[in-house]
Amino acid sequence: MVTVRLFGTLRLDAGRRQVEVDAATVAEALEKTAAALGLPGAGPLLQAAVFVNGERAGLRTPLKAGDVLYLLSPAAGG
Amino acid sequence: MTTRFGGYMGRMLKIDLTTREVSEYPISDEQRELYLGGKVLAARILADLITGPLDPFGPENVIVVTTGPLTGTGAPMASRFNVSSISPLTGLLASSNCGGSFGLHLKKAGCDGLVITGRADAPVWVEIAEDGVRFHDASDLWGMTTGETQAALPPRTGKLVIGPAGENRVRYAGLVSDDRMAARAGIGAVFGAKNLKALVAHGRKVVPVARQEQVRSRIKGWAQELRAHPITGNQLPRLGTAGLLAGMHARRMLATRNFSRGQFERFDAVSGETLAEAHLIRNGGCTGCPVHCGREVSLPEEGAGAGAAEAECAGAGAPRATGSGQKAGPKGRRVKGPELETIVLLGPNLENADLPAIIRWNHLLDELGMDSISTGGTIAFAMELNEKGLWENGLRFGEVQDLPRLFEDIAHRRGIGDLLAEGSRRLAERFGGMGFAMQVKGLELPAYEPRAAVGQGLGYAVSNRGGCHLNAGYLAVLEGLGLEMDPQTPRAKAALTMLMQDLMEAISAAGNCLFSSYDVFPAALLNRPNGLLARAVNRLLPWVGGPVALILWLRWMPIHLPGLPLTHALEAVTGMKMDLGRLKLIGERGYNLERLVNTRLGVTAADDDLPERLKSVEQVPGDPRTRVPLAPMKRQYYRLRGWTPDGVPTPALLRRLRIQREVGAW
Repeated sequence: MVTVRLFGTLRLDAGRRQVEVDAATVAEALEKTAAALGLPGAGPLLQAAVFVNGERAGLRTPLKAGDVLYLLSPAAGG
Repeated sequence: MTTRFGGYMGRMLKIDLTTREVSEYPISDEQRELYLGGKVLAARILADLITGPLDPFGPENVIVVTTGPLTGTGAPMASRFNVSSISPLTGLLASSNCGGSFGLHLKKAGCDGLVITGRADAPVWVEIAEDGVRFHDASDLWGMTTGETQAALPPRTGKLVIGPAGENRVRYAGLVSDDRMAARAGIGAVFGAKNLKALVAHGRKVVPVARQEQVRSRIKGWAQELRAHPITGNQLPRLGTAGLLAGMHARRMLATRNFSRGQFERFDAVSGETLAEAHLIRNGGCTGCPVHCGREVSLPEEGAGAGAAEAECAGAGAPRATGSGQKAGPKGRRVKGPELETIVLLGPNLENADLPAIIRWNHLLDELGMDSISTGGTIAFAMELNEKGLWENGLRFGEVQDLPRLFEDIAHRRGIGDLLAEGSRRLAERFGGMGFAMQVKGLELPAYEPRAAVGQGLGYAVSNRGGCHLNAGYLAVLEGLGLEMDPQTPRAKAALTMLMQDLMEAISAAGNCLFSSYDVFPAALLNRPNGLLARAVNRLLPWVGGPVALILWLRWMPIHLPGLPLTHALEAVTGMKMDLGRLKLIGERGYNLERLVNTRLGVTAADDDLPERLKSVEQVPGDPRTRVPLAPMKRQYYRLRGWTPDGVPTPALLRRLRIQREVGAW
C-alpha cells in the first residue's frame, strides 16, 4: 500500500487530500488513484510532477509498500 | 511638457515638501523611449538627483513615484506603479511595486509620476488633482493604521499611505494602496521621515493611446490568453501565490527555520491548498486584473488554530480519501489573505504551522504598514541569536503566540521591538551571527531556499535591491517551480539570470505585473512535466548559456514572443517601435542605471554576496552540490553584464546602452 498525496489544482478538483492504493510503479499508482477519484483515466494525473519519498520520479519508478507519493500540478511563480 | 507618445499624460511633478513648491520635472520623449517608465525611469531620475551617499531619513533623500505607459490603459495586469528611493534598510537604491489604484488615479489626475524632495515641518498629506497640488495638515491622521488612514481620506480617490511603522521609521516599513502593498526595502519609513503620511490622487483624465483600435483588440486577445494558460488561468486564480508552497517543500526550496532547512514537516497546514479549502471566500487582487491571484478570506478569531487542518494530513486505509476540505465559512471580517512570501516567512521559517494566526498577522502587518518578509526574516534571525546565546531576547522557534504584540512593539519601536525595527543586518552587527543573518545588502531574503536552486542564489547575491526574488531574476521558476532544469548546476545560470532580470525590469517599467510573463512558458510544456518535450527542454537548459550569452551580447531580437503580448501592446499604446530586443534593452539599461546609482552609494563586488550558511553549509549533509557555488557564477555574471571584476559597469557598456551620454556626470 502506498500513500498518494494530492496537491495543487488536482486536489481542489478531487476534493480530497490523499488516497491509498496498492501499486508496483508510479504509472500503476496513477491509474489506481484516478479510479479512486472516479476519473475515467489517469490523464489529468499525468499533468502532475510526481515525487516518491521526496525524490522526483518518473512513471516507471518502482514503488514499495509504505512509499509516499506527492502529485503536484503545474505551478510557476509567487 | 507634452509628448508625442500614447500611454503618457506628459507631466511629471516635482514636489518640495520643505518649501511646498511644486514644479514640472522635465521628461523628454527621448527619455521615454530609453527608460519607458516605472522603476527604470525612476532609476534615471535618481541617477540625476543622487550624487553620493546620503542619510535615507534626511531631507536630501528623494522619493520617485512612477507609473508605466500601460498603467490605466485597461491592459491586463497593468495597474502597477512603482516607488523608488534610497532605502533606509540597504542604503542603496530601492524600488517597490504596487497594484493598488493609486497609479491609475495619478494618471487620471494628469500625472505620470512624482518626484518628492525635502521634509515637511509637520505631518502632511498631499493631494494631487488635475488643477494642482494641495498640502493638508495630517496631524489628526498621524498614529492611525493604514486602514484607518485610508478611511479618513476622501473617498473615490487613489491613496498611498503609511501606518505607524512608517511614522516610527521602522527600516522595513512599506506603503499601502487599497489593500495592496509596496512593501519592500523601507520606503514607508522614508515617507515617515519626511512627515508625509499620505499621497492622494484624483481626476477624470483619460490615458491617451496611440492606436485605439489596435489597443482594444490587443487587450482582448491578451486577456483571453491569460485566461487560457495553466498558470494565469488556473493555478494562480485558484490557489494564489501560496499554491507554490507544496512544490517548494517537495524540492527542498522552502525556507524553514531561518533557512537552516528547505523542508517543513507540517507544510500542508500552511499550504495554498489549505488556504483555498479552509479560508478562501473569493479571489481578490490588483486593480483591474483579470487573473485575481489575491485571496479574500475571513479574519479568523483568536484561538482558531491550525489543529483542524493538520489533523487532515493524517490518514490510512485503501483506497480511500481523507480530508473534507470544508471551509470555515465566511464568518468575521473579510480581509486580504496572505501571499506565499508572508506565509513562508511567518510560517515554516519560524517553525509555525498556524495558518489562521498567519492570516491575522498578515492583516495586522498591513495595518501597521510593515513588510512581512523582512519582519519574519528579522524575527527568525533573532530567534536563532537567542538559541545560540548571542542575544537573550526570549524569542524561540515555534513559540509564536506573542508575535502580535511583538509586531506592535516593532512598529512603535518599544522594547526589543526598537532593535528588531533595524533589520537583521544591523542586529548582526550588534550581536554577531552575520553568517546566518539571512539578508543580502541588508534586505531580508524571501521564501526560496537557494541551496536547492543555486541560480536563485546568484540572483539574490547580485540583485540591486538586495535579497529579493524578483529583482534577482527569479530563476527558481526554471529550477523547479515551472520548468525543472538541474537546480544544482551552475551551468547557464549567469546568462539566464541576466536575461530574466532584464526582461522583468522592463515588464515592470511598462506598468505590468511580472506574473503576466508566465505565459511565455507554453502550456504543452507545463502540462506534461513527465513528457518527452519537457524532459528534453530541462536537459537542454544547462547548455543554453552560450547561445543566450550571444543573444545578450547582440541585443538584437526583432521578434514578438508568443505568450508575451506586452511588446505588441506597448506598440499599440505608445506608438513606439517595440520588439523583444528593444524591451530587453530597456531592462538592461534600467539594471545598469540602478547599479550605477548603487556604485555611487558605495556598493562593491563584496556586497554581491550571500550569507555564509548558504555558501558553506550543505543543505543535505554529505551532498556538496547542496551549497550555492556563488564565486564562479558571479564571475561569469559580471563578464556577461560587461562589468569589471569589481562589479562596475564599464564605460563601453554605458556608451552602448546610451546611459553615459544621458547621465553626463558619468
